[in-house]
Amino acid sequence: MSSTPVPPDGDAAADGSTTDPVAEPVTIQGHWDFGYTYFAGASASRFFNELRLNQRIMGTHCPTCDRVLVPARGFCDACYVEIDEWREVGTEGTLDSFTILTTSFPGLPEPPTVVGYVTLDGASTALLNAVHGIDLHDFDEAGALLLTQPRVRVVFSDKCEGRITDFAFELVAADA
Amino acid sequence: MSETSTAALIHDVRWEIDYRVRLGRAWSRFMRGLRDRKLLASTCDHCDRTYLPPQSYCEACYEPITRWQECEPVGTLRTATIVYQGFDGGPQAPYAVGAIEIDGTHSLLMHFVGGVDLSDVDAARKALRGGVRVRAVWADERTAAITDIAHFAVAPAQP
Ligand SMILES: [Zn+2]
Ligand SMILES: [Zn+2]
Repeated sequence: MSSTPVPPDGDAAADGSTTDPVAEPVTIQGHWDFGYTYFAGASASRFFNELRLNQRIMGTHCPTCDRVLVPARGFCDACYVEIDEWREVGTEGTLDSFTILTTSFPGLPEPPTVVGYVTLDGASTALLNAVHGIDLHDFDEAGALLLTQPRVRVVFSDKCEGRITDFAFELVAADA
Repeated sequence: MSETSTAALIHDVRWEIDYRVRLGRAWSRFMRGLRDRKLLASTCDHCDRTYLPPQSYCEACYEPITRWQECEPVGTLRTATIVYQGFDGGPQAPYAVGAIEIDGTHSLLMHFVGGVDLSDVDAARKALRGGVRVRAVWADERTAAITDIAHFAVAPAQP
């Protein structure tokens, strides 16, 4: 016999251990403190350099499945073939999905902020980045607006450094 | 058209984060079981799958789970990797990590695998092949943490 039944959840009387896992969960204290060097690799290096030098969003086209992967990748994740045909994609697109961040995290901007997946015109895959300019006074209202999968545009910052924060998305309709 | 640079992009990164994880209903009960040298799994009433580590919901039928079992701390190693490059805060490399299917369960538990000489890479890889039998070795000092199991020891080959 490899397993023996024990009392079900919530049956504290039958369960010898009387600690309620909901009222008193086991808590793990964590601390991360480490440094490392991030090397972006050939494709991501060029992708970020394009942001810095040319303020354009680049993808790579897979000849096998005819998709444009954004951000640019050196391999197609569907066909496993090496790809090196670079294409500039549009600066407008559709917000496919989003989340509203309400809790702060070291290194990220003060909440609330919006992060979204955007498929830019001409791209086959969605790109993750900050969505600026959303009125977040009422989360339900903001969520309802973002759920309509609105059109967004890429806005570059004044000083591009070759990082993903060189640009953000904002609603196309915002100044319509 | 302006220039295109393929220069390698390198960033120095530092992570310094304090956090607290509340393990919730299933994992809290699981960890407290370890403290008492008990390996607890949860079983779905709907499809009879048994999960270890336990889950409050079945990932196959999305049904809530309240049924529990105590399992023998023995199982089968399904896959493993040998870590030669250590990590800040982690154990001293080399060490082995494996995915273990505890007898009677339908899931994999990740844990350290011990009892294998890792200095001989080829021999170690043979010893850690999928299918070998393993048994939990309990830590002397237990605090309701996953390390209450020191590691899973590869059973000596049957004579
Ligand atoms: Zn492809
Ligand atoms: Zn199920």
